[in-house]
Amino acid sequence: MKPTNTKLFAAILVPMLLIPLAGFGYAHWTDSVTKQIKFHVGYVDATIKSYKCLSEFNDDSIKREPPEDKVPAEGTKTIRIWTESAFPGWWVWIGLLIQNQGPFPVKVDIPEYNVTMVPPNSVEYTTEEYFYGPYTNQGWQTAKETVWDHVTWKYLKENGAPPGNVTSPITLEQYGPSNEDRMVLWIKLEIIDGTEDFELTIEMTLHAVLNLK
Amino acid sequence: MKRPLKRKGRKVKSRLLFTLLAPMLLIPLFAFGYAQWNDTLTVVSYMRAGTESIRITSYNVTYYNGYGNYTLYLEEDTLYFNETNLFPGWELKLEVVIHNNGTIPVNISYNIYYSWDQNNWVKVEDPQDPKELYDEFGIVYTDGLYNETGEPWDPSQYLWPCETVYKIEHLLFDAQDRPDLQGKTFTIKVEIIGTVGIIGTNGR
Repeated sequence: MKPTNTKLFAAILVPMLLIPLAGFGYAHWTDSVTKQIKFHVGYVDATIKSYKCLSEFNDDSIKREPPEDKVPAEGTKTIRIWTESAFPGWWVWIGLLIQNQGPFPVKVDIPEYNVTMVPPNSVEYTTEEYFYGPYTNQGWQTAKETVWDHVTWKYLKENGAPPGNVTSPITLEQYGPSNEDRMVLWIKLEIIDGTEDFELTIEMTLHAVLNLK
Repeated sequence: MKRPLKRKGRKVKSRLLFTLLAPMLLIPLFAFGYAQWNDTLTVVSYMRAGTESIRITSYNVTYYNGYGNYTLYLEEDTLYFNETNLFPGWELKLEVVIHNNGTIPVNISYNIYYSWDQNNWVKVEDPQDPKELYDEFGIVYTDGLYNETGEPWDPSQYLWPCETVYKIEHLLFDAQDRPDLQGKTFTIKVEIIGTVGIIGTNGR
């Protein structure tokens, strides 16, 4: 019985001892090289470089965030306007100067509207969008006056949207040292009718979607 | 001979593994890509209804040639003028100050009504030319709207919040040939209206 036990013991123990040795051997007898590939994933970056909020019922009664003259140099993604003096016939034109600051071309289309009314169905309103562009640096110098600089509430009241609007979507080429593609979007918002006390929130979301050729 | 075969076998296995694994790895990548490959710009506009409110803030008789038998007082939104002894040639100039103390601009207009008994009121067809007042009572009624500097007020313009307009009325009792009016009582009502609305861009 005894020799059998010893043999069995050896048969179990020897492989167990060999396992770490084999492991050590494996570690020792291999080498490795590494290939590291670094990726920088591009991003879509459109921004509101400047905006105008024009209404006959202006300035004191319409608050803006950020104020028109305080838009950061790098632009902003969100603007807010609010008034507590709206009434049937009240209107505002919101002009957005949009620039593609990302490394890819983007496509900008009609905004998506998300509307909240209190009380429900208390306000009848209309929205209109007018697209202008795309403008290269040089093109913008020419168009700037007509579609941006000279546009005032009086002009809009008398003439409506500036001339030269195009059909959406607009494609803005990628940003580069000599290319700062931009576009202008004028949105008219008008309250047609409403109850004596109403609250209306309209969230307009513009998607700048990656537009690869 | 065996080694290449073995390698070939491994290659097949790894290709199969890759074929199965790659799509599984790409699924979340696609989802990530779809969610991220656009940028959004947002314009949030909040509009709350303003309040419309006009008030008579003061009034003044600027000319009167009667015998002092009148009373003039303001009760809520109504200015009352009562004269007990009208006579041919009687004349009154009354200045009423109207102030917009609401939060929205309004357009100012007015209607004129007249009555013999203060129950049945008749509306004058054209308040700019209320000839019915002369036909009925011998009253020549002229009026005008003026701004704070005394310039005529353009009725198509807005009276903005905190702004004031002056309404000056001139009433002359021209009744030399109307003895039938002796002893009669009549009332003239001028309703000043601040209108809010469609005039903004569509109607005006």
